[in-house]
Amino acid sequence: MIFLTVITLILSLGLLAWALKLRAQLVVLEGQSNALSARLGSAPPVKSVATDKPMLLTIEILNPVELARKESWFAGAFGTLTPTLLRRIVYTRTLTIMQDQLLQFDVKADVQLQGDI
Amino acid sequence: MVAVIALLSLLIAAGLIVDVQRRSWRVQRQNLRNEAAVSELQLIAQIRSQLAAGQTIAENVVEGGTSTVRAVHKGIAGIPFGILESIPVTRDTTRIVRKIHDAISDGVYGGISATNKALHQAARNASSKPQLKRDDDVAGELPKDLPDSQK
Repeated sequence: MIFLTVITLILSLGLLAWALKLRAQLVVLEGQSNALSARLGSAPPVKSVATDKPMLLTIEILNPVELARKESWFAGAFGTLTPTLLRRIVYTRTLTIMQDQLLQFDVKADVQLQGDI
Repeated sequence: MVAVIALLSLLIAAGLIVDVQRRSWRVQRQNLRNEAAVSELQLIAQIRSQLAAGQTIAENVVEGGTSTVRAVHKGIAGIPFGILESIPVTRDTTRIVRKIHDAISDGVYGGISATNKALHQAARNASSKPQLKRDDDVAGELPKDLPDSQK
């Protein structure tokens, strides 16, 4: 019995050491990822917003220029000159598409844009 | 005592693993965003280089067209001036008129050329502006996170 307990203790301590090592590696990765994101100018992920609603689905479009360019070359070129306006157009268009698509699947959803669009 | 320590280690390890999983998920999300940002920046750079090439071509075409029109205009205008200058009665008056004509046409074509250069320089400056960072981009701001007290 004592033998089994000692084995369990050793295994537990080994597991703890492994978890600590994994966590330390992840912290380094987190730092590198954040530094890269700061250099690229990409915003950090939106943290969950505490509201009185039980669940919210958030969608953030990460490739507005690519989407605009698929529509037309001019839209992509225009977007590189006015990224703010481009993002606004892409989000508005996405909102419309999502509303239509959700209705097709009989999903009753209140889809809206948040933030200073 | 040994059993208690073993149990405690297990609990701590489980907590750490849950934390690692949560952080790992966050890093994966951040990596996805970084990849998207890199892809967008590459695309923007590509479009800007295409725009710059197009601008150079347009500038050269306008400049070349203006020079050609200027040369043709000068040649055609030179014919009546040449005839009139060969007649002694109209020679002096024609020379004056020709000088005035040349000065006006030089001014007009020079103006077109200068405007063309200025317009393309302005377009170059506009297209070579650094990409706005999202943090500075007011219209693209994400919903602000609530203060910690409300979470």
